[in-house]
Amino acid sequence: MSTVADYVGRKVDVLAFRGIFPQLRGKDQILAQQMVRPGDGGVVTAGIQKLAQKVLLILFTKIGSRLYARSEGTTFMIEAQRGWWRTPADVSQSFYASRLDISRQCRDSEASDDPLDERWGSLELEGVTLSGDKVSLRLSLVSAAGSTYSFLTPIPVPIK
Amino acid sequence: MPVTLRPLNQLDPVAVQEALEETVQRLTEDNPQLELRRGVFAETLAYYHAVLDTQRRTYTNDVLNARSLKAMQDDPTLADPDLVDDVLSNYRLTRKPGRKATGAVTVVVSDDVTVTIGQGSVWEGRGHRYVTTQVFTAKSEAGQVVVTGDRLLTPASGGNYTFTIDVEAEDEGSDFDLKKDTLVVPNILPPNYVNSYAAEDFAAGLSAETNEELLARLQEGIAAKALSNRGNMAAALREIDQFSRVVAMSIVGHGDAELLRAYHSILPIALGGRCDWYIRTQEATTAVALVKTATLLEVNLDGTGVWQLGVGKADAPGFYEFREIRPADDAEDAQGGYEILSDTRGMDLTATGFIPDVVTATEAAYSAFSTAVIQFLDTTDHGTLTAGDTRDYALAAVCLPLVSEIQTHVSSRDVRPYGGDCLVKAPVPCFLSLNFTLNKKAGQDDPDLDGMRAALCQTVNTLGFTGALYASQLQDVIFSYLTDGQTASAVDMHGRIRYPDGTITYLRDTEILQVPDDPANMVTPKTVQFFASPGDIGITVVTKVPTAL
Repeated sequence: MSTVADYVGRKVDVLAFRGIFPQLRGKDQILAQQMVRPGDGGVVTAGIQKLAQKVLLILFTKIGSRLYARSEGTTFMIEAQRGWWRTPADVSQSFYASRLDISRQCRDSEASDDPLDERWGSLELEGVTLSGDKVSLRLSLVSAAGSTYSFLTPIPVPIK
Repeated sequence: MPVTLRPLNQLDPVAVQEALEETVQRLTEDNPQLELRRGVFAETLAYYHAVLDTQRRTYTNDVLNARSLKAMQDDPTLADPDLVDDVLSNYRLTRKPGRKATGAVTVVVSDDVTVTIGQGSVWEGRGHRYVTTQVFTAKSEAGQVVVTGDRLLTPASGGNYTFTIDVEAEDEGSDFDLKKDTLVVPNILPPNYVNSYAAEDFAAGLSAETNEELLARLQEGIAAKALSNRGNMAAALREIDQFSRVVAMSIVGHGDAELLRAYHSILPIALGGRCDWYIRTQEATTAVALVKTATLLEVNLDGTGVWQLGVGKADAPGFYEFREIRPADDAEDAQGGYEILSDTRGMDLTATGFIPDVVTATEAAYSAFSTAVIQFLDTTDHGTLTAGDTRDYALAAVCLPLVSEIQTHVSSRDVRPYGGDCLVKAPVPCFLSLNFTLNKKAGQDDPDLDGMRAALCQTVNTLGFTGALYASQLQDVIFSYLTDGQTASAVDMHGRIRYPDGTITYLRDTEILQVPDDPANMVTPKTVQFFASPGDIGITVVTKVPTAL
């Protein structure tokens, strides 16, 4: 088990997706997009959690939506907004179509001297749950170091 | 257009990218532990800082560029007019203000009861709005006409009565100019209203000088204001407020084949010391209303009569041609005019002061020294009239204003070059008519045809001495008025050049109207100007039905 000391000297980012590290509790925990919560002043992150956050940001950014960074993001949320998802298979298809973009953009932002647990390894979709107007994705991220990080993220989608 | 912050979506992507890289670099140097490549810091902090920073830097550059003469000339549309004014004041150049077109409107009513037109009353002609600047009251008795706004109801044909009011364009600009007899209708009809139309060509309106126009005069601002080289002469003329808004000029001098006056010698060589100064004083020609006494030359067997009248050099200096000859006492109602049988030009060099060296009527054509004798056919029954009888006729002389005033100025002892003379002329006219078809889809509104006509006229009338009119220039204007799916046909351009010797030559093409190169007759690109008026632009709008759906 890692400690804070393991991350001294690392580059840190603001933690935007809150959720207890699932492996600590031994069960799935839904991530919440929340930079600051009552009672704390914000948290920084490093390691595979930072990598997971980067992956989510790329996945949820609509490609072309950032005027001066049009190549950043994926088509995943575009397809969600257009209401193309009817079954888990549709979501899965969108995800795997976007994964290539995530992989490419993660690798582009990495340096060769970055810690291995902050570098792209692989990303798998382990499960999709459609519930009302929400889709929950269970993702499993593996860093270049081999460490695994699993998380659940809900996505509101339009109902047709 | 003032310099303002550009919208965030109109920044240079390269500049944003560079600003982002600089931001990341500087923040990383300050705090190496911040993850600024991708992530929350990068996408919410560094990225937006870079965008806003680029916007500010662009604004700063725009302001700095607006103060740079070179940058102003590179992109005059970007510069703030106030800043341009500040900079060009260093070169003794000031922006010329705009002017509203003004003119009189004849109102026809069916009864001779008093009619009042309120101040600010709106009248519309050719898609533009005009307003009265005072109250007008039309009255039936001459004795009741006492104050400036009072007008006399004058009997007209058909039992109607007419009176005139003065109106002013709602805005500045030459597109508000109206030709005589153009329909001008009120928004609120006065009592017994029958009809209303422009009583005269409206006094030309002008737009305030743009940055482009002002910068184009930069050379004139720096140049000495003297009758010397062409730049100096242009500067000297535009320096005088009355002549400051002349549209275009061409100076034909020693070495130019068009200068026939250079050959006034027993030797077959061109002598120096003379120049012909062709000046287009305003965009459109104007029609000066004249009333002249004509003499009956002969009565034809069918009762019609041939009359003759003379037009002096001071009646409409620099006149081009005449039209709408009508009996003076019926000038308001008669449409068209009698046929002109002959138009013989002459010259009148009688005057005090310096007179340029002019020896033929052709050389004097379109100058302040030109005269004319007009013979025309009055088609009414002449009854007992016999040759030698006289009668007053009204006619309109088509001309450009200020020719005489400019000639007087440049001939004055203090101004004219001591080594020669300068003859001021209106340019040789090429009167245009344009015809084309617009295709639209079913259900679409017509394009703004009046606006299109005005824009086409402005394009043609401000071409300068280019010697050619390309259809592509006109298509460019037309296209700007078309909406989705609308198309325009080829433009049938028809030009009529009136040579200084009275010869008429026609040009017709759908691609380019090229001015003939005929210096022996003073007709070349250096002397000819194209003239277009909205009434001479025919636009047919047709609905194109798709052949396949």
